[in-house]
Amino acid sequence: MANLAASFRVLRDIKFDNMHDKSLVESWKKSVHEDFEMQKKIDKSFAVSAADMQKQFAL
Amino acid sequence: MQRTPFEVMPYSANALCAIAEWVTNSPFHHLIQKRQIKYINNFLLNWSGDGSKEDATDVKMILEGNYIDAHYLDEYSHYFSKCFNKYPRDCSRVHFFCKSKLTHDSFKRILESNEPPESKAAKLGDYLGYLVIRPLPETFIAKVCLKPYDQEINNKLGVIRSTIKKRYSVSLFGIPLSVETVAFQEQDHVLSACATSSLWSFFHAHKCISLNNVPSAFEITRSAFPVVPELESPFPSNGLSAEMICRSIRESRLEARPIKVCGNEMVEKSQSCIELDLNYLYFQEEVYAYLAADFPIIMGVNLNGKGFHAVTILGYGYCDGGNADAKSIKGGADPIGADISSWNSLNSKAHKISRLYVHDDRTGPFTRLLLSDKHWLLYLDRNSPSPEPEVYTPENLILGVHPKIRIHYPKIRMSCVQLRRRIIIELLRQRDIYAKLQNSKLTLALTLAIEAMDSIEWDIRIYESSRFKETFQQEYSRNSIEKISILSMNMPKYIWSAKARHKGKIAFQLIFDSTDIPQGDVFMSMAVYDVAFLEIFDLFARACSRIRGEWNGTSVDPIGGIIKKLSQQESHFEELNRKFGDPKFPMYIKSDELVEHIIVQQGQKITGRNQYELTKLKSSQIYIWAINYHGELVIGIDTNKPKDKKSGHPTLLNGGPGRIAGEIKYNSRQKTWEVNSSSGRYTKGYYTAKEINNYLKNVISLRFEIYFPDMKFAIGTEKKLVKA
Repeated sequence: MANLAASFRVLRDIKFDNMHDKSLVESWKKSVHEDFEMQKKIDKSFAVSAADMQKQFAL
Repeated sequence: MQRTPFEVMPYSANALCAIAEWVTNSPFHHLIQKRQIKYINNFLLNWSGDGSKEDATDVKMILEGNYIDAHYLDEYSHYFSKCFNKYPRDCSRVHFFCKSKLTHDSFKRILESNEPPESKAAKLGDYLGYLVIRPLPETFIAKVCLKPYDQEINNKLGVIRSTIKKRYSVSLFGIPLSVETVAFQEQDHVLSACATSSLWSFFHAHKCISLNNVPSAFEITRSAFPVVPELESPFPSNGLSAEMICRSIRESRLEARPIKVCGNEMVEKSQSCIELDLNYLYFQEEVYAYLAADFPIIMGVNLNGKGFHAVTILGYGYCDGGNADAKSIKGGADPIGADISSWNSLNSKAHKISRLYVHDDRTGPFTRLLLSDKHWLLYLDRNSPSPEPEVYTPENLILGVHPKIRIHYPKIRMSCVQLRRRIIIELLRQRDIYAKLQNSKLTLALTLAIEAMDSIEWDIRIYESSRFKETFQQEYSRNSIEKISILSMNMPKYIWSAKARHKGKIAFQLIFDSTDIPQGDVFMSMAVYDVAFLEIFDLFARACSRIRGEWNGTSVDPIGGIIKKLSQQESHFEELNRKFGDPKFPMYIKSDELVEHIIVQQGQKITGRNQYELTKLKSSQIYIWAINYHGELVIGIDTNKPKDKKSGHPTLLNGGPGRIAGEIKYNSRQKTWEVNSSSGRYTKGYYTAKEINNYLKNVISLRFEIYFPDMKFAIGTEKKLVKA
């Protein structure tokens, strides 16, 4: 773990510039959109319908 | 019917059924073949020294002939007392003990003796719990409280088992006994069907409901029906629908949340599709998130065409090595170039769950369901030569949580999925840049960081904030300021915790408010346990800061709170805390500093240059100073002569909160005003020597030298020693 921390210390040398920042915003927007779409699908498959709510548990 | 007050006998299923036959007036051969009796028999035999035998010689039973069960009494008064047939009012109760050499005679001697009740209890053996027999034909199991196993029998796989338990206290003829378990009940087909029994166990297990307030089966079934009567009568019960189960939960002031799981229809339609896989993973995640916080869950299952059945999930088991089934579902681990489904799937501790422990009224307490090939299998009889498992296909889950919990698992999951994804996006982007620049050192570090973020295993669950803090103070040890800050943080009753583990160790932990509104900023705080991840978050924070302006314009962001926290600048008060120490009230106020119960006020707040004419004062005079809550410098005179009224630091701040404080005195040899931190009320015992030195430097450079530009200041010596 300590080795990993030592290897990662070099990440402090990374510099940011505006040209690349724009691409980051675009990537983030895309990722949020995709994850929300996926979440919608999941929410839909997990949503309980009115018919499901009427199923009688009686065994 | 006359019943003996007590009997003591070795345990056997036959002896138990003989008692039940006598109490319920049911045929013995019906009782001995009951599925629940077979299950309870196996359960008790496993507690015996030799579990393979038919009879457990060291397991003993004590029959309490006449026992009044509060729930049966309620049901009796509402229903059975009004039947033409005369049903008895009293129940019987059978207690079970293992490692016991008890006989009828020895028990009589124990009862006769004058020993303390605790010593008497110790002589009975290890208490396993009890079974209440209600005087109804066939469906006689009114309440079973049996101690669950701490671990699996023949635990070759090393299954880690976790079940909800509550303490049930018992007084057996004045002898105090207790058992930690959750009560189980068999449906009576009159006031309760499976759903009512499952709700009854659910309420028993629920942390928000005291055992004294658990509703009876009669009350549960009645509360499940709408207030406005419909055509159907609640009794005799024909079962409850999911809607009715939710209504009954809400009647107990809990918030019900039904979730569709998969059901047979979905399994048939999409045997191998990714949606079904995700559905099973979600099922495990949802179950773990609430069950780990001791919230029981009602599960509606389909019994392979036989119909729908309800059970109460009370525990889970997993192997630390993981669940092979879950691994096959997850697919490729490398996110690079993977499709959207693997992005959204989350590597979770919950996927290791391979068994559930349920109270199933058709079977018994803590029945084990095994996950196999996307089905939950129930094995009834371990002694059966070829046990044919029953397939339980989950239809839905019904959660019932404290009403303050308004933020549910999907929102927290989404935040974790997004955080991991966006960090990896940034790391990948940077790796492309530095690979093109042929910077091998940075490219390698970024590759390792991507691998580390990608291999994270999430442990997402709800916590009671007090329990969270107990766990946190044991697990976290990296940074004392961060630790104290989180431990002393004001938190809602329930919080969401998302621990990210890397190679089995906690790398970082996110804390979310569970009581907020959905569009609110639910993120509360973050603790980084592993310094390696601190570097990754530092890089991510710098990226967030760079694009803050542009990113703020986007729509709802699931990690908006985390980004805000990472990229936010230091607030004014955080800056003051860093430069002059945290504000605190004076340690004490001397009686000399009060005049007619009012704190003496002296000193002058310095807000501009040369406001306080120090040079006109005697150089032999000692002055006191303090930095107040708002970061302002206040100076006054230190009157310490015996005749004078004392006027220490609290008189500068009207007894209110202050930061660092001390004295100033003139050093004529050096021609310098010396500033020290001598304050018994605001400095002593609060700070380390290093912190004091830092704060004094700031006080001199940011306050004294600015307000008195013509004078020379230096750090002076202390009158009293400060904390080392």
